[in-house]
Amino acid sequence: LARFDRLELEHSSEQPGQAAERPAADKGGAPPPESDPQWLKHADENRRQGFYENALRFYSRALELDKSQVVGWLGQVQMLIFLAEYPEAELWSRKALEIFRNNPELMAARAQALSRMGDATKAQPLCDAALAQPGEGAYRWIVRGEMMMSSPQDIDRYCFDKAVQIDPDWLVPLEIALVYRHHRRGSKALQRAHQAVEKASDVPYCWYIQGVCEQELGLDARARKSLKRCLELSPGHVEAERRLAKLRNEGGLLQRGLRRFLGNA
Amino acid sequence: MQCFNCRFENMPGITVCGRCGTALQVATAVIDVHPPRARPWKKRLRRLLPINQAAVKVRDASSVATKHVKAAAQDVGMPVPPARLLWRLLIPGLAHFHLGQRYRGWAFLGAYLVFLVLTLLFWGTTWGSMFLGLAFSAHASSALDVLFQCPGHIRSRLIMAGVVMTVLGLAVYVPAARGLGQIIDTRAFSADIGPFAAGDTILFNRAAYSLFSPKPGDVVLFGLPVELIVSVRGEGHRIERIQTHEAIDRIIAGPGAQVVLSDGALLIDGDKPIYDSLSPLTIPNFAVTVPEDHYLILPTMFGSVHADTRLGSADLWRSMSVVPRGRILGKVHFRNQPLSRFWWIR
Repeated sequence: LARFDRLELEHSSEQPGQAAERPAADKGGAPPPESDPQWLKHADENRRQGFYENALRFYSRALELDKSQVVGWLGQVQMLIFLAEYPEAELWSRKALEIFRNNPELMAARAQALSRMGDATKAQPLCDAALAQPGEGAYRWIVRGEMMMSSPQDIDRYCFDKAVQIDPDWLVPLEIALVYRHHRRGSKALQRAHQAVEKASDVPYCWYIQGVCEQELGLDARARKSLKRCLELSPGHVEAERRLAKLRNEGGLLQRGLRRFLGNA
Repeated sequence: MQCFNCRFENMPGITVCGRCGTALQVATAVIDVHPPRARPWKKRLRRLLPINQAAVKVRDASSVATKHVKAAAQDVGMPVPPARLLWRLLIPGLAHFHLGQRYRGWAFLGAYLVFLVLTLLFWGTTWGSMFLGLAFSAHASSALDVLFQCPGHIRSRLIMAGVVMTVLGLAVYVPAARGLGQIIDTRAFSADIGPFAAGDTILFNRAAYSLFSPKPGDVVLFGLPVELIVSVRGEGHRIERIQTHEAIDRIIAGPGAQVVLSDGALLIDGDKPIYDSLSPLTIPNFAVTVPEDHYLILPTMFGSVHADTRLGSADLWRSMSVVPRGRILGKVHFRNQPLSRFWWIR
């Protein structure tokens, strides 16, 4: 088998026409040509900062170099879902599933896109099938939890807990918080965002999401603190600045004056 | 070669993974890796009008309803034909083609089309209604023929046939006939008036000017601002006097046109008009400027009959010929009866 591996490695090391597929920026010589893991790394970094548009672009770059990266396809679908382009995400997940048949994460991504489009009848069996596949992944359980959110029992919490248990990364509770936010469950979203902050207190995006959740729940003082912390960690965070400015301008003259006096501005 | 999806070790030279079916040559295949994107306006529209979600809800509700109907029908011993047959019943003969019965299909479809064409030709007459009934009969016979080929007790098949015919009549024919009647209307002539003869039936489109404005050259049916009493020849040599408040003629000029009629010559903005009225007629001299939302239509069809003595008055012609847009009832398309005189009215 090792012999076969070597043969394949030789075969797939540099394909003819691969250079032509590279983005124009790579050819000019300004930035050095990067490999697909580096593009994936860039994509992941952007995703962790909440720059989903950039992350999507980097996932595409990675796939330009190596189409067999299932992480790239999955990332593209997930970014499309974060960008609220559900029909496009569904279409793209279908295309990816044609290449990677029965891939559980892609099936879960398609189920998520379908459920966001309101098609629970199609999404449910897909989600079940994704969970029935061998191996364990946090994303499948996140999708499962999202599908269970409409049930009267607290099943979604168990699914999300399972996801957090499988993957201790702070991104998991944060993305669960985003799921809750999408479904307008502010208090539950805040719990998960808080969990993410506990895991990664040096990540500005966690503080930002926590601040947003608090702002939506009307906890203005706490939201101000979270957004300020986000700005301390990332001084150029435009969205945090905008939200903080909005919070500062809220309330009457007396209220604002009192806030400044007490040092809560 | 190791599958990048399931990590299964495949033999070299194999193109598809033996375990999961993934294409092993993906790395070299030409695949577009840039996902489709939604435009911002599309995303906004989706937020405002969740059509996808509504469509899914309708689909789910209809599938649940279908399931219940099927279960109820089976409970009373009446098997429901498959959906692929049921929707094909909407077009006569289509279900027969699906079942492989080509000759029957053509027979039903042909009969139906013949009756449908005759219905349209005789629209607005008693014959038209009869042909519409025959077209419905051909359609119903086609449906019955298919339903009677389905297995089941004769009673259940009869009930199913009744249901299908009722649905066809109420859901297709009644709305179609009413809708068509709202758009295409008819007028029949009982005497020879102008270019029209007794027994003529003309078709006009009521909806022609709902979106677009009338334009010079159109032949229209319009309401006269004054009621006219015209003497027409009845049966034999008898003269009948009939009252009319509708006329058919061509629009000569649109709003804002300066119209001068002197010594039988009509001038529009100082030039000869591009369009003529339907009947040539000598009209008393008058001059008028067509106001906004009004049209110049000379009701010349009454000129050839022994008409109202007031027709010699220039004031009457002035008031009759300038027609407000609201009085234009529709665009006249063609004479459909008698068939010997069937032709476009232009």
